[in-house]
Amino acid sequence: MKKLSLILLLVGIGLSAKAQSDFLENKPINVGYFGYYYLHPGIKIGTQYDWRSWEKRKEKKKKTVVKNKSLFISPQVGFYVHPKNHSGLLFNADFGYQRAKQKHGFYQAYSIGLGYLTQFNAGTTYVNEGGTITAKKWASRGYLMPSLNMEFGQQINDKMGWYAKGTLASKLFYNTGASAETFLELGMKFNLGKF
Amino acid sequence: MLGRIGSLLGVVFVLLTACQKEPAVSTQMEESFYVRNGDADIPAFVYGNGASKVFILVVHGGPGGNGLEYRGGTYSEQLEEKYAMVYTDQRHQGNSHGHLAESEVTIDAMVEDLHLTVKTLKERYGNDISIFMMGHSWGGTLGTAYMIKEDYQNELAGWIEVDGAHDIPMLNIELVKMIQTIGGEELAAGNNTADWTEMIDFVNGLDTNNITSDQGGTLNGYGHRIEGLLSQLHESNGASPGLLNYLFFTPNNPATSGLSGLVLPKAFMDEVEAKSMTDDLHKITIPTLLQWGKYDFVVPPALGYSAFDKISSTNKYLKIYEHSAHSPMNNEPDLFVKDIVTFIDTYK
Repeated sequence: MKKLSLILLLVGIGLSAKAQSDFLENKPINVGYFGYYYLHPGIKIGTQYDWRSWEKRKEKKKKTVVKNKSLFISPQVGFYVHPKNHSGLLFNADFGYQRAKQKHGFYQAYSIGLGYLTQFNAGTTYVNEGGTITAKKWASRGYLMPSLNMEFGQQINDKMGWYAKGTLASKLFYNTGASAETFLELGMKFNLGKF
Repeated sequence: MLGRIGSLLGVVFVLLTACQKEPAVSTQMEESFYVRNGDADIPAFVYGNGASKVFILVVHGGPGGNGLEYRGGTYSEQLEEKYAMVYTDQRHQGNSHGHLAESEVTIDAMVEDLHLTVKTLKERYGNDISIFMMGHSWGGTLGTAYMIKEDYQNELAGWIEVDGAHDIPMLNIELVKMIQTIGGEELAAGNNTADWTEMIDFVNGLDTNNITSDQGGTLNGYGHRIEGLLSQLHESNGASPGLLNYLFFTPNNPATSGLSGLVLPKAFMDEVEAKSMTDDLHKITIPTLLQWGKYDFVVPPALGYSAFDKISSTNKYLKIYEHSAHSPMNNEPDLFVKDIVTFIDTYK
């Protein structure tokens, strides 16, 4: 599992590095509130790389509606705290489809994610080591965590936008099966190169 | 850029977690810790008056419940005022987590988790504390399994069994009798005739020497349903802290907890359904308080009477609550707490 975490991190770094070359042009940095079960607070940072995009035009009466569509990869890293229960550090990559209306900049995105969550136990963990109890801080376990995501937002101008994202996820190999998790994100997207 | 992001996350991580100080024994404790036993991480949530040096280790019901479900209503407020309450979860239930094989989900593994939790409480809060174990319903099964294993009970100051299911086959047989008897009386009185007719017909068709886990599940469902049919019961005072509060503002995670409890391995559920410890109850020698609702159709009071007869302890008490069902802590909280306080203050 630790190896998988490393791989996911490296994939994320790789994608970010690839995006770095044209990042200053138009690749966003997303920074947002990352709420585990909505209200347990956290923060998530990520970026988005469009690996295929196209434009669709539709004639409607006297006007032309233009929609920009894309398939994207979005590497992210997030951290949250469920007080007195646990903290979670997530490395994740979303793979999805986005469509945006050119006129007002509103967009919707649907994606599937694959992440690796390190769950840190709250407080001290007392570990049974052959009958001896050893106290450990930040004891953790790792879980592979696939997810389904729905996002909507708006590109306010060429510098920034906002987004809201809902996630349903499941920690795999959790106890003897899987868990049910949900997250809410609210944040801003910045095109730093435009500032 | 990634370096800056990493630094920012590091700062946030430290800020969000730096304020955890422990252990902090006080009159108003509010903290948590975990016990790691092999592949399972077991949480314990501690609330209340730790300065009393008395800790009540709550063993939750189910299987499939969680400890924090028991932190609600006036009974827990009253007990937390006097003592520290330790709401712990069992492996594969509640907020416990880990990477478990199905073969690791057994009653004995859960007994070992409890044993480790008791030892950890002493390691954390000092050897001079008194620990009382309180098991409700399935927690009575697990607590009894703890009491009869080796000399584990000697780590405790006392055992409190609340409507505990220490003998599931006996439970099912007694439940059938109760439905036939009290159900018959309710039918004769013309109360809820459709419900009672359905349940009596079902139990009359059972082979009580061979009740399957599915039939046991149906009987358990009837037991809870009957609580809504009886006028003899006092209104439940098991007020939860409120749904939104419970969902979002407590250390509990009801969705994850609920799912874990629902998908317990079948082999474990079969082990539970066959668990009978009546013949081993004589091994219990520490002070014991048995608390039962007279109208408990989930774990009939016959099990309380049987336990009282079999337990060897010379300091044993059986309290039957006249207006209670499966959870006397909610039906008659003041009386329930009064009996616990008397018991604990005698043997702490």
